[in-house]
Amino acid sequence: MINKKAQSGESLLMIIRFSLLILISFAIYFIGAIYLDYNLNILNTEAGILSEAITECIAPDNKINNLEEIDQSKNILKDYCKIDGGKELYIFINLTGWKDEVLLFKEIAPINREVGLIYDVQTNTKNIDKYGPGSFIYYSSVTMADNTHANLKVGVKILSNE
Amino acid sequence: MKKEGEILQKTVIYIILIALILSLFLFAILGKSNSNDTKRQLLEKQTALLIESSPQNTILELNINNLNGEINNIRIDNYKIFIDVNGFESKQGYPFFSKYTATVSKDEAQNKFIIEIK
Repeated sequence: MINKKAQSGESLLMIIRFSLLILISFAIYFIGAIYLDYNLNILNTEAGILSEAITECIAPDNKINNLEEIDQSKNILKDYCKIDGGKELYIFINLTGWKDEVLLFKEIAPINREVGLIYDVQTNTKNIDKYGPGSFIYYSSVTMADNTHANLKVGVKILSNE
Repeated sequence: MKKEGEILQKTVIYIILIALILSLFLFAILGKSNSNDTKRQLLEKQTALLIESSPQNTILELNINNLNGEINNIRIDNYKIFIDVNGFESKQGYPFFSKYTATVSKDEAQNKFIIEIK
């Protein structure tokens, strides 16, 4: 005689087993996909290269000679450093330990290929954290024109939705 | 009461199903990693990184028969690099930044693409 309770219990167990199996398979697939994506992501490296390039541009051989020119420059990357292209960026450049802390530059900049890398300074940086993961902060000890010392901090976040 | 043969039959079916589903996902991952789109992305990103970190007057050589497949064409347009791999045309490209101008040419004799950063 067939035990109906046992039969229904068994089919329930089978459903649970299959659900578990499908869950594990999806987990394997997603882990694989994340691993692949991680290895394909170069935003951090790009942010590092750009940070170093900006530092080298502002303080060649760790020496800042023309801070006023840098400060007055509307577009440090395009006009002063002559860097063009790239993705959307969020850049901040701080100079500490020299007189008062100076914030040289801070902006979110969308790409505009017609005009250059940065065309519009936006002050709204509230939503910056939603972007990632390309970010890098570069610290450098620099000498000012009057031979005082300061610390330069260049931070780059590359905003990408890829 | 269950017969021994019945239990064995069910277990075999379970194992086959598990193997089938797992292999399906495994092949999906392998397919993704070996796809031309992934190869294109890899090549574009690697080349973009090289251009970004290159100083002026650098010459980069890329073999047509690459580890990631056969490179059909390389284009640089508006600070974007497009690499066609294994007949797969790159439409998206990858943006790069540079202080210098990058130009690309094909060296048929040496089976290479040459990227000059001036």
